[in-house]
Amino acid sequence: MIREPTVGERLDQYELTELLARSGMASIFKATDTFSGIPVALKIPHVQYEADIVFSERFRREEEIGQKLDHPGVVRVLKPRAKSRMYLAMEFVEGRSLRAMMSGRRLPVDQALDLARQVCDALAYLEAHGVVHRDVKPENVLVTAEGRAKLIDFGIALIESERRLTWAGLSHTVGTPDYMAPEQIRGRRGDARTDVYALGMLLYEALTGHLPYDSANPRALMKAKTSEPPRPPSYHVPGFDPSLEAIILRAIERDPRDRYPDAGALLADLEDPSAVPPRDPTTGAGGARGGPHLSRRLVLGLAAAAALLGLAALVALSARQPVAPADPGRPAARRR
Amino acid sequence: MAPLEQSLNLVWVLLGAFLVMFMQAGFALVETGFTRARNAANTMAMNLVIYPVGVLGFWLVGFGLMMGGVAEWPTLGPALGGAHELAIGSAAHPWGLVGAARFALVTAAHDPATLAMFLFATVFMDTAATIPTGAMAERWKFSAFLLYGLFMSAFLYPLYGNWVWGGGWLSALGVNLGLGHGHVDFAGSTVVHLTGGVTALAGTLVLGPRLGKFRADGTIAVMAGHDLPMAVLGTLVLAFGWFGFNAGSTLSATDPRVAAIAVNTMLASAAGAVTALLVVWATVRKPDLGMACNGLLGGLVAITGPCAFVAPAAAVLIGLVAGLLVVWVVGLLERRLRIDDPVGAIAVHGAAGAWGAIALGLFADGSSGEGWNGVAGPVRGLLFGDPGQLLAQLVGVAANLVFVFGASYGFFLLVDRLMGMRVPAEVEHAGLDALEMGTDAYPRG
Repeated sequence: MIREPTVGERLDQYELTELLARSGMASIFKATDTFSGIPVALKIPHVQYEADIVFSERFRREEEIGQKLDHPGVVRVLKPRAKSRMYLAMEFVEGRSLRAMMSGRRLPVDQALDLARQVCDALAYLEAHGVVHRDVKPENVLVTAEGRAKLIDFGIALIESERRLTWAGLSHTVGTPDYMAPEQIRGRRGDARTDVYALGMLLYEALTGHLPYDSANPRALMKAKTSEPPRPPSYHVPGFDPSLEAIILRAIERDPRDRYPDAGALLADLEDPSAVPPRDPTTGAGGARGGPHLSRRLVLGLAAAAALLGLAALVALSARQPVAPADPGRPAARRR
Repeated sequence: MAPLEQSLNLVWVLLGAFLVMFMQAGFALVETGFTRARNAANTMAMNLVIYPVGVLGFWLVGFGLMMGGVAEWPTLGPALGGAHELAIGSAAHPWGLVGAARFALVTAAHDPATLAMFLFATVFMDTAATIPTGAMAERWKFSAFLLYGLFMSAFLYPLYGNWVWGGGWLSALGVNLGLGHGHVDFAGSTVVHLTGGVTALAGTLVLGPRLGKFRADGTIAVMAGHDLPMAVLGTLVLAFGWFGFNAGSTLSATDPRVAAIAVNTMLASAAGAVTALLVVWATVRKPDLGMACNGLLGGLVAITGPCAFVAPAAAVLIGLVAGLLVVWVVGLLERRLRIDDPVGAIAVHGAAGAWGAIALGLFADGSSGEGWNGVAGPVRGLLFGDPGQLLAQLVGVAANLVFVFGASYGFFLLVDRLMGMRVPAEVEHAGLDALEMGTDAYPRG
């Protein structure tokens, strides 16, 4: 019978040495690989989730995706020789989460930009491998003592070509809607631009210590995120660098089509923020907008013109139709 | 026709149309009251938007297809600008298929009689078009609904309407085959209500039930409407507008049948409401207000077709059967067939509409309808000596089931393939108001 593992026990080739964290769904242990002596991290789901089909499918996919990836900005998922139960073996990262680093205060600009670039680089690598993370947030970024950022938790990540796995029943695991993109709130599966949005939010919070929307009520927050423009960073931090503000606001545009098309494009701007023109305060537009908008406007304009021309033709035709003979007995007709 | 009489008739048609237009408000209230609060803005939006979309679709295409073949309005005078009906068969016995004139009202631009008829026909069309929005509520994607609005107003309703009211083949069953007066539908039991009900059935079948309605263990969730007072108000608004629907359909203020039609309309609605109320009261030990509303509406739907041809006592009988039918079909759909219709539109408009057409074929008593559809003599049902009339009624109902169901089912399937008919599950759970419409009907704080 399977039961909750404890420190000191052995699980396959690993010896559990320390309980690192415990969440609603899983425990994370530090362990030692008895073959190599290298420290690893094991994510072991609680017993009651072992039988949950959706959960185990999600878990299996997290492992499958993780094993395909190899990038310094992404936590490596290991391949144990044999597994006697459901768990995930990962490289052990000596560090703390970005959430713990921020803990309500701002990070220095250089440090925040450096971390954002690293996460962006990792996301660009993921995109190149057809993976969308979909759950980028400070809790899921580990930072080592040397300042190296590593992305973790591919629990709701998605390989583009794969069938959608619904997570409606797991909504409590998705956590706060703070970092969810508007299209995710609307129930879409999300793509590379969804991760761009989350990274923009991450940079926003790191640089200002605040989020662009705040509400204690998750429903009101979700509504605000889908229907209201974000507060600019300069609202919280007077004198905020206007170029950085333009980058952040473009990354967290509510319409994905207005955002950077992918992490690579965002990374290019983050490499040299001063080259980005500040936002035009009158139009709210910053930098160059995407091409599809022009053609969309053109199509709408042409359709409107065609409708007007058609209506004009109908009006002209109508004017040539016979008029009903006025009855001479009617007062109105007599007066004429 | 004397000019004064013609003017009075014109006013009567317009007045009837104004009353029927107000039924849009009744439908909006009934459907929204019977659905859940999280979808209230979406349900209201469909009821609002079907009106302008339907008006434009019917103006541009629908009216020409439906009424393009009518050369003269008997009570309003000649129609200007020429008429054309595409037909097959011989010149002496044509089978009309579709009208082909008066598109966008261009040739009727200065013809008051045709314009009044357009207004009248348009509000009838919008009544039919708004019926499926109730049955398909709480899960229908708004963009797919918009496409449906155009399809219904420009093609589906006008085609069947042409066959019965525009000089098409169902109205020629009497002249060509000797089946009574052909399919007779005075104010729209089949043309308006059966068409709406059958389209609603096709739509709910393509959409599937609301999430959580039919559980895996076989039990059925009760998804109670969020505002019963709203539904009751809507029902009464509909009953009021219905006087325009039925009495207005004489197209003549000087036709003495007007009084009988209004009385029959009232009696059938009363019989339907009381029957449904008592039947449910007897079975579940509580007087069900929602079912009383639907019984009242069912009575109105059933009397719509025969209202000009039957005696007051027959109207009560027709309403009574309609009330029973509504209760039975609501249960049949939900418990046996597992079809999820949140407001009961399929039972009220589909089942009671078909019953109304058949009731005409049974109870028409020969007191009126002289020369209807070009056949000499008054309209008589089976019980008054004309079995052919009942047959013509059955052919009309069958044609509706086959054509309207087939065409609308195919259309909904196509839309489902191309763009999807249904909102994602997450949207349905959270409510269409917040996620599909981006607004709440009742914002909290």
